[in-house]
Amino acid sequence: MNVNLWKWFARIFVVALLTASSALAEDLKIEARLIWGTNDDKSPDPTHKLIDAKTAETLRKVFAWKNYYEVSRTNGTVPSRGTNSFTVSKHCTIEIAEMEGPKVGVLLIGKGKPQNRTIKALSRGESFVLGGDVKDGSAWFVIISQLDEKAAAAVANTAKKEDTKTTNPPSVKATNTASK
Amino acid sequence: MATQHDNSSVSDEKLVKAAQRGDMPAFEELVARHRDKIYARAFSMMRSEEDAVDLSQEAWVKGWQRLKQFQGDSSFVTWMTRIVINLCLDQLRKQKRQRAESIESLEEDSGGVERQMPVVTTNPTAGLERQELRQRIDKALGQLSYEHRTVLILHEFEELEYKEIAKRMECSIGTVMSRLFYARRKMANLMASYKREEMS
Amino acid sequence: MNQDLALKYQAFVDGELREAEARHVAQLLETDPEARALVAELRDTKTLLAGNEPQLPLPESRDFYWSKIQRDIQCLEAEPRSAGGWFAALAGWRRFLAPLAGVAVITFLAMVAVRFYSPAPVDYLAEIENLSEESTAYSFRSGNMFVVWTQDRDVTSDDSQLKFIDYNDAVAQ
Repeated sequence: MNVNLWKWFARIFVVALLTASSALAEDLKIEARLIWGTNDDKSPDPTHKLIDAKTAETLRKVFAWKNYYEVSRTNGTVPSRGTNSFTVSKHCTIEIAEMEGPKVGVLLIGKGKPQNRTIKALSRGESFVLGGDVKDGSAWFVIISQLDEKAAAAVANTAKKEDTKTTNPPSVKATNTASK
Repeated sequence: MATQHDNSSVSDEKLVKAAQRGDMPAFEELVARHRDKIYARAFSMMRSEEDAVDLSQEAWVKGWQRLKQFQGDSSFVTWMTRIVINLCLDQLRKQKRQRAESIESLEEDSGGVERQMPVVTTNPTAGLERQELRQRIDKALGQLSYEHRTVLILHEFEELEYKEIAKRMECSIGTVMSRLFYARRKMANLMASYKREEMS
Repeated sequence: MNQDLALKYQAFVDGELREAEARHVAQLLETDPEARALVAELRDTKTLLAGNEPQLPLPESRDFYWSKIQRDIQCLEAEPRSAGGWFAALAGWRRFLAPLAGVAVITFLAMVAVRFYSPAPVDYLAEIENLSEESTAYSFRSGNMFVVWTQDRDVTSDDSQLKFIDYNDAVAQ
């Protein structure tokens, strides 16, 4: 066989293998928004803002509450075949695992106790919503979305500018200290 | 070629340099000196004698293969323990995929259980001989889930920072912190309970 | 004390906080005895473990253990290497490369097609596991939204219906 031809096939083979393997597993850029649904006209907490009209409309189509306020927004990366915790409030943590499929496992931890776990495929453009009642008749929602590269980059730039950590654990030093 | 007897008084540094030049008896002396420590680290993580022997053996073989890459930035035994830890982590990940998660481990991971554990204010290890203390620590380590035990070993014995542990365990820094917190609190309470059992 | 604060105290003990935050935590500790007790326990546990890693002797004799290592090393070093390195070693496999490359390309294209063009019915499947005796969870889909609703077990089923606008329509979408 012509040497140049088989060298060309060898290169195609390697590229196809690498692309195929990378298609099977990837890090997930995740955004988790804690939303409060209520019929009150304003939130007692001035830091809560009404959510964007599009998301509000989507929620109103399904749920009966009039107003939806964003309580927190957390961004992070779930490593391929790994897990990441998203603490959306002092009572609520979500642990997301990237699994074979590709699927995600979402563990809801409320008041320190595991409540339920959902395993499903997470597709871009689809919202995964966890929700529940609050005793005063309002409700909480956590909207979990997978960010595309552009949105993830925009979030990273915003976080850099504000110089804040994008996940809730206390800020930690990047370098070792002599006190250890 | 140096004999086994000759190598026993040679420093690790010189033995490593000799082994890097292909001196197998020098490498054998290094194995003999540090095999218990490497095995103990593997056993702490794997909790299985068979796995620990196999993985420590594999670590030595890898150590020989990669010896030329050892630059002396750390001690030889520290370098070897990193090799065995990575092998143990790979093995634990393989085992995790095969093992169904129990409710208990989920509750441990949730980070809520340790809030129910009372803060230990007295020293549960006072009066213990070092050997006895190490045995109790080993017993307590055996009662943690593999994730909590691993993060404790990497932080307390390997002295890795949170960031490095997160990288090795393929999880977030927040998860490392939660697990370490749980593991420490559980360890404190276990040591206190062993003391109570002893006194009753 | 909430979980975040407790983890902050732990990070303080481990020297993982930035200077400003460490100073802030030190100030908090001065006025909170519960926090001081927790920090003391964390420090004691840290001190307890430092230098007290269990020491376990390897349960095999020196000679036996070394013989296995030596055998493995010799096996690795005895593997034949053809002159000219890996590239020359591929020479014997040339005749398989073209069909293998063809198979890889077809597989790759099939994967792309399945991943991006199939209706992906698997997306609609989900497993939900209740992990708490105090709550229950159920799911439904509405448009592009998949919802897992958690409610306390003492809430009546009637209450749960009222919060959704035409629940049956929402489920049916």
